Order: sequence, then C-alpha cells, then structure tokens
Amino acid sequence: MVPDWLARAVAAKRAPAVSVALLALAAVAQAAAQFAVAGSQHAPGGAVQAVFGPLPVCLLALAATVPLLFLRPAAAAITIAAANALLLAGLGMATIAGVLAQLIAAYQVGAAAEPRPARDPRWVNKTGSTSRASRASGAGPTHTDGAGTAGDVVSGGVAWAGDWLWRLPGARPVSLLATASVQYLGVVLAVPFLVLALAGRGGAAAVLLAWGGPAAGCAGIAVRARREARTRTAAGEALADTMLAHTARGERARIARELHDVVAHHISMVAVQAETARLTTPGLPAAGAHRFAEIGDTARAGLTEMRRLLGVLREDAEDAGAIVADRHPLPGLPQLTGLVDAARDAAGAGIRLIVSGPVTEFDPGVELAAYRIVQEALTNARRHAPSAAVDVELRYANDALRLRVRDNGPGPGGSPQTPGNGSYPPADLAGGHGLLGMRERTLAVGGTLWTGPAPGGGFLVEAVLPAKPEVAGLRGPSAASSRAEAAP
Amino acid sequence: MSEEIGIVVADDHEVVRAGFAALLDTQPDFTVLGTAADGAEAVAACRELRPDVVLMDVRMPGTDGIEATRQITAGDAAGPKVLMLTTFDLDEYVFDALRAGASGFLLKDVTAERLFEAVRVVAAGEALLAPAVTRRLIREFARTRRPASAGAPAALAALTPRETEVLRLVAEGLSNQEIAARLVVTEETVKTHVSRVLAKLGLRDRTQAVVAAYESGLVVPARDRG
Repeated sequence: MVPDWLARAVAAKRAPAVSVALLALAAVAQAAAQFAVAGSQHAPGGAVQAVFGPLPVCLLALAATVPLLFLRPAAAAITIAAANALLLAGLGMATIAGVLAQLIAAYQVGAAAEPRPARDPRWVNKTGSTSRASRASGAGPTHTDGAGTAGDVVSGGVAWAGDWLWRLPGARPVSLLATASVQYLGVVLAVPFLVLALAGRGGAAAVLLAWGGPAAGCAGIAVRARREARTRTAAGEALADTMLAHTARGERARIARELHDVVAHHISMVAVQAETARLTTPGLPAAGAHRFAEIGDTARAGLTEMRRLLGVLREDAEDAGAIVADRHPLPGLPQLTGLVDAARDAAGAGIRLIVSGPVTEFDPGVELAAYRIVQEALTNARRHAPSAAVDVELRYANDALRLRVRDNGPGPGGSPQTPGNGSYPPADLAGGHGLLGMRERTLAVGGTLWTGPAPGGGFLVEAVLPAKPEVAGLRGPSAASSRAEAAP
Repeated sequence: MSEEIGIVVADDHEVVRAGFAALLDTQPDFTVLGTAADGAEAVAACRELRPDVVLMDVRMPGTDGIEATRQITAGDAAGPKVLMLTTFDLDEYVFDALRAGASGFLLKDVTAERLFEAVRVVAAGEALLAPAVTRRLIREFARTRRPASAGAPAALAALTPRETEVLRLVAEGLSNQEIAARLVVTEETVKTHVSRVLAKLGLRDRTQAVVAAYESGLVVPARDRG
C-alpha cells in the first residue's frame, strides 16, 4: 500500500520534507488544473490568468507551500500568507495545500521557541525545518522567488536584531517583547484574509484562513506555553534533587566525620594507656613492655589511617559548608541542658527538658546522636513553629534511650494564620539538615526514628536509640531503615 | 638542665590526664605540679603553680586549649611554655595555637620518649616543630601573607645585622649547630645570638621567633614548597 520510497523516507526521518513535497505537488497540480478549467470555462479572473499565464500561478502555489521546509516559521508564515493573498486577490483562487500550509505555518510561529541566537538547537521547529535551511535558502531553492527572498530577509533581520538585542545588557525585556509579537504573527497574518472574506473575494479559502489562521496560531502558542512550563518544572525538580543530594552528602559526611572523630579519640586513648602501662607498671617484665609497645604502635598506625580518612571526610563536609576544626569536644547528653537553655533564650518560648528513668552514661556515639537529634528538632521547631512551646523528653531505660521532641505549633501543613508556615519538608533546603539529618543520625547508631504530626496537634520527633549500637548494627542498615518507618 | 621542670597537664579526659601525669612522673627531672580538666582550670593552675611547661589539649569544654594558651602566654615572656597535645593535626589548630603563643605541637599518640624529649626542648626555649609542621607553617604564611617590603622590617630594627642573619636562619628551620656551621662560628656564639634576639624582640622561644620572622616579612616563604 505504502510505496517503498515513502516508507524509507519516513524511516530516515524525512517525513517533514516528504509531507511538504507532497503539499507542493498537490498545490501545483491543483493550480494547474484550476488554471486549465478556468481557461476553458472563462471563469471570473480568467482575463488576469490569460495575462499571467500558467507559470506564475504555479510558482505562487509553490511559494504557498515550500517555505514550510526551508524558512524559519516567521518567514515561512509571511511568505505563505503573501503567496496565498496574491493568489486569492489576483486570481480569486487558492490551493487546498496552500491553505493547509498557512495553517501549519501559523501554528509553528506560535509553537516555535523564542528567537535566541540561531545556533540554539531549540530553534528546530516541529516539522524539522531549521535555521540552517533558512540561512541557506538564498543559495538553495531559487524557485521561492521574490516573495521568498523578501521573507527570508525579514526573518534574518528579525533574528539578527534579536541576537543583537539579546547581547545588550538589560535588553532582555525588549527582546522578549519582540518574541511576544513574533508569536502572534499567525494571528496578524489572518487580517488580509479577513478583509478579503468581508469583501466577498476568495470564497471559502479566505474565510477559512481568516478564522483558522488565528486558531492555529493560538494552538501553537498554547502548546509552546505548556512545553515551557514542563521544562521549567523539570529544571526546578532537577535543581531541588541536586540540592537535596548535596545536602544529604554533606550531612552524611558530617555524621561520618563526627563518628570517626569519636573512634579516633578512643584509639588515641589506647595509645596513651599503652605507653603509660609500659612505663609505669611496677615489675613489668621486658616481654610485657614489648607487648604494650606493640599495642601503642598498632594504635598509632590506626590513628594515621583514621586521620587520612578524616581529612577526606572533612573536605566533603567543607564542600557542604559544615563547620570544621571544632575547639570543643563533641557534645553528649550532659551538654543537653545547655542546648535547651540556649534554645529557650533564642526562641523566647517555653522549652522544657524532661528527664526520666535511671540516668546512665551511653556510648559517646549514641550520646552524640541524641544531642544532634534534639538540636535538629529544636532548630526545626523554631523555624516552622517559632513561638510554639517545645517539650524535650529524655527517657533512660536499661536497653535504650528514648527521645521525644514535641511542639504545640501548627504541625505539618498547619494554617497560615498561625506563626510559621507549619510545613516540615523532608529535608529543609534552607537549613541543610532537618529531618534527613535526624534520620541519618538515628540509622548510624542502629536506632529508630518517627517524625510527623503529634496526636492532638503540633509536630513530634521520636527516636529510640539502643544502648548497645553494635547489637542493633548486626541487623544491618536495611533492617534499621525499614524499622525507621514504624511508629513506636 | 640542672633544675627540675614543673609541669601542668590540661585535658578534659581523666584517662589522658592521669596517663600523661603518670608517664611524666617517671622522669627524675620532671615534676607534675597539677592537672586541669578544662581551659579555665589550666589558666588558674598556671597562675597558682607557676609551671615551666603546660601540656594543653586543644578541645576542652568551656575555655578551649587555644584560648587558654592565649591567656597563659599573654603575660611575661618568662611565663609557662605551652606544648599543645591533640588527637587531630589540623592545620587550623597548629596555626591558631602558634599564634596564640604555643611553643610546640604534639599528637597525643606520641611515644613516651618523644614526649619527654619534647617537654625538655620546650622548657629550654627551643623550637619544637616537626619538619612536616614547619613545612605547613611556611605554606600557611605563603598563603596568607603578602610579600614584605625589601628593607629590614621596622620591628626588627633593634637587631644587629648578625642577629638578623641568625634569626633568618632560625626561621629557615636550622638548628644551632647548623647555623654555627653556616656562619663559621661556635655553637655557643649562636646560642648567645639567639637569646639576645629573643630578649630584644620579647619572644619566649624559638618557635615564636620563627613566627615573628615570617610575620615581620624578614623571611619570605617560597611559594608552594610543600
């Protein structure tokens, strides 16, 4: 059914060229046929046709279709409209292909991207005709005749002016204005046909172009607007993803750095104790001293590796803007009172620290995690529920430490009338850490975290940190992450 | 070194504090006068016990080790010399500590023998800078200092040309012995020059002389030496 050459052309993505060629063929055939019919029947306009002969009519029919392929949308629309107007006004006829071409051109003008510099690949329009073709049109299809060349000049001029304006500092609005007017070209070009239709010339073709042109142009503009909106949304999402990934990376580096810091501290204690034991143990045999020296050497070797690792982690944390070279020890639960006091002073709101259960000392890593989770929760509360009262509960149990930080603010998605917007994003991009950081901290020590709306209003952060992280660690991070979903 | 060296150990961890104190006490020429659990205690202990050397941790709650060093060395140049001890050899720590007036910088996992040597060196007013630390110090100055003017810096005007030359060689990391060989004089003469330089510039030891030489622009560090 479908001819071989056509299938091949479509496969080679030459569909636009083939379609336009078929349109041109149809236009010329129809023009020639109408010319012949008009010549034999002495239809209106016959005298004019007799003067012009068949060749100009066929050329006009070509000019009303071929520019689709070789000119930029704006130039093509102008050329095609001019050819159709000449055909209708001078000869009282238009080809079906010409009318179709003009509707397509109007649509393309609306749908084409803004006239950025010609090398911009977005300038490729729907049918695949490119600016490259429009630039080459002078040397290429000579049969586009006077009208085509004029259209190209206009198009080139617009493009050049656009390029030039674009490069001027502060000229972007002007250039945007030019873009805005170009995309309505499809509508403007319908005016001559409206006049012809109202004057009773051109018949159905003039009426169709007068109403169909603007409709096609507007359809193009709508398509373009939707495409741009989609691009903007995608770009926004990509940016948000990147920032989230960056934040997560920085936060992870910070957590890793702090945990390695804790370990390095332990190892340096081993080194100090080994040296002390070697030299201060009374009656230590030489073999014992040698053993202690070896323990010290091993600890030093471990620390050397650890410092190298910390250097890498520090660079990552520095990239993410985290604080480095702290001159104070890493905080633990004893520092929580100071943290809550500072938060109370800063917020001017009621912040309570409620401690229950037998107070014991946990591993530095667990205490650090607890401190940082409370710190993040208080920061979040201040950011999202500025004047809300906050309760920080610390429940000591034999096997675990339970943390609850609850504010009486609007909670997630709270009404905008209340102070703060009440929204708790998964990772607050402005703050950099937020819930993401709490989650990482909890998982790092094998605990569970629950965050969300508190029963009865407000926002709740609840964490259970096991006293023995190594036991929980055996279950692996995947188990920990799945448990992190469940509300305790 | 006929006199005993009085020492104060400042560290917020009991294990480290007790460990270093026990280690230092094994040396007949050392006397541990006291310990401190934070920077404020260290400052108070120095005022009260007047030690020769303070072993100072960088990270401590409240007043940190570097701030405590600044307070301890702010007084007379004859006051205690501070030897920083830290788990982490961060550049920031090294530079801040040296600018605060520290005489040396050691990692906590040093061997006991090196620790003893370091305390003696610092007590004697010698520079205690490992080659790696000196390199980094030079790099830091190269990064932060603009090239100095060609003439002798005003701060060093009080020095004789010979003393200036000796200071320049000290800042380049040469030992007294090496300087003596370079200038073709005896080591005793070099020692005399060095102590006169320290006295004239009001510096407590060789380390601070190195810092002063770089900061005054007497020595212009070569770019990117490390």
